[in-house]
Amino acid sequence: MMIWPLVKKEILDLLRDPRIILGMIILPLVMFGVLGEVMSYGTQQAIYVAQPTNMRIAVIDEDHTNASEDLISYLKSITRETVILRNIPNDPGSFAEDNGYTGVVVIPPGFDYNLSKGLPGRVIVYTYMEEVSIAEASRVTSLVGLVSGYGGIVKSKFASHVNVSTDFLNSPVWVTGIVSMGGKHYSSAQVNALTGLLFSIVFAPLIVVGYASQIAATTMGVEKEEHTLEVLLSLPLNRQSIVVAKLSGSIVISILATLGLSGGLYLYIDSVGGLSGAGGMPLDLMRNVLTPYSLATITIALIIGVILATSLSMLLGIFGKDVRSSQSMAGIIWTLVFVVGYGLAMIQFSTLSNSMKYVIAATPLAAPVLALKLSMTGINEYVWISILFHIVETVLVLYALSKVISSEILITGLGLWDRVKRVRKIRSRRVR
Amino acid sequence: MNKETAVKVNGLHKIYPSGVHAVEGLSFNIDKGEIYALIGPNGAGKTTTLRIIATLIKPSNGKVNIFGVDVLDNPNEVRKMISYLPEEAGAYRNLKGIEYLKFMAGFYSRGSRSPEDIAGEAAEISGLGERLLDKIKTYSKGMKRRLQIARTLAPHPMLAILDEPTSGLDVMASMEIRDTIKKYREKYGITILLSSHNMLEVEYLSDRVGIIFKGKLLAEGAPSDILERTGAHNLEEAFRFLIREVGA
Repeated sequence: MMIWPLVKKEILDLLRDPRIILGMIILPLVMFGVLGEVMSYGTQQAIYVAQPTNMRIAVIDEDHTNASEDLISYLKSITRETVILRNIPNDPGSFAEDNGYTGVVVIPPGFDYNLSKGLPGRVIVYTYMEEVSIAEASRVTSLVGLVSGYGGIVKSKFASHVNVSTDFLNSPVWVTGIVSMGGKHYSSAQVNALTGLLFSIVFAPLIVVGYASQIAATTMGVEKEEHTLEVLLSLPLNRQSIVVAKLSGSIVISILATLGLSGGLYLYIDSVGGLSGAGGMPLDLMRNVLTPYSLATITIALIIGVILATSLSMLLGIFGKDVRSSQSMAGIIWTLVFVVGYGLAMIQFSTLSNSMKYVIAATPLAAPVLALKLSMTGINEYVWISILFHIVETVLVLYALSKVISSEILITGLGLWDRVKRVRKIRSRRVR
Repeated sequence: MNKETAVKVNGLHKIYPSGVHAVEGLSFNIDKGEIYALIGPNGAGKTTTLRIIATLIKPSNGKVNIFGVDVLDNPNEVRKMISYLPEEAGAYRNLKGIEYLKFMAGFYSRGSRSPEDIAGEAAEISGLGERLLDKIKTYSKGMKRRLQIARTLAPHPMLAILDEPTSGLDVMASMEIRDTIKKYREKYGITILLSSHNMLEVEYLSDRVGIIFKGKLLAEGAPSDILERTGAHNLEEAFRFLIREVGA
């Protein structure tokens, strides 16, 4: 079979298409990289404004007691500047914004009285938001948190008064969450961080599968639209070679897209992960959780998923008359990709019945998501069952593809609509 | 001495899935080294017949043999002997002209002829010179057609199937292509089956002509024989006469 010249042509033709280079390789790399940098910058801004040493506060003391003065001393000790005002401005929030204060803190009368009676002391914090952003939201939360921090001092005074430890008052029962996954132990905070990360990257393989299916579906549409199909089909080569070459071309481009996407995701996770406070950097955690075995399984599942998606898309795309109709055929695969992705992200696989697990494992395109999802707890037999199902499905689809490509459907179409019209015509004649 | 038969079409029928009966009992033979032209109005069944011979579609009934090989039984063998130029033939727009010719040549290289030899000859036929180093998407319609003619003839196929070979070309380019087709038949003994609307072209090129209408063969023979039989001055008149004769 003269496959190599065909594969070379496919790759060359695809790689010289600026839409593919831009959409599949450059865009994910730039998109995730920039997204990570922007998130990193936004979070750094939030951290900066949330730092008490960067805060300038105005305080109005209407209680004039030892307790209120104690609160003011606390604020003075931790902020950059705490200014005492005599009267409450008409609009304290706008006043703070206009005069460069982070906020205005009002200590109403009765603050000390409440504390002495064992009741919560009330403090009002006025602030503003210039726009909706992480930094602004963070400033509001931090200011309220800062003033609430005084509660710790009150707590420790009370603790010494009743002769108990502050830790006891904070949390009478201490719970240490230790989670065992794949034979290793993690804190619950680490697991939460990792779960969040996995949920965000579970769609990465699906995007790759989606891209691959898009290319494969349109590959025949392009041949039809640009009138190259008839020449191709008349060449002295086995029709199966055309299928193999087209699939190879789509898969090579998908691998490049995977590299682009992985590079972008790496930049994203690295930028955002550097700010993570959840018990360690997500990338380090990922490295710790993903063993070489699970990584190899994910890779195999992803490759077989891409091959199945490209074959299936090519089979559907063959029935399109041009690029547009082939793309709409590929839409079916996109739908499948997202239904499988969302579905598997939501369900708890381990609690399903065995028959249901088999159904899910057999669902086309489930293998890469299943492999990624189960990689945290250790790859189990269902991932390999799913990979086996995918291999069988791929063989079936390739067989159907070779049958279709050897037929004249590529040139004549199915003529389904014409057949319907013919049946209608015959029926209407009979009625007359 | 009996000439070898290159193409043998016998009782050919083609009914499309849409129900259109495109070819109805067509029969004709083409001798080796002959230039045979199928002429007829739009929808007469010319392209369908060429597509069946080129193994793109299958006959509903009847037999087609190319140098003794049945198109249905052994399409892969048939494809090794033919080179097909469709009426609307495109080329991969992101490839350079020379890359396209090399790509196509790769499928036909056998014996002493390397893909480079075939591509070099194709480059010469195309007459595109330095423009072969440009991407095909920058070519005009005429340039694309010349590229296609070149890749069809350069491999020296046993049978070249040309559907409207000069479609989209200007007068000068059309004349050049006609001369090239004739030269290749004479030099390499290539059998040529073509279809055309251009009666002047058909008269100039063909040894024999088959006039088809509504999927049936109305007349067949050398252009001079057809003119004599119909009492016409040229093939256009003969064509009109034959169409009227069948009551269309």
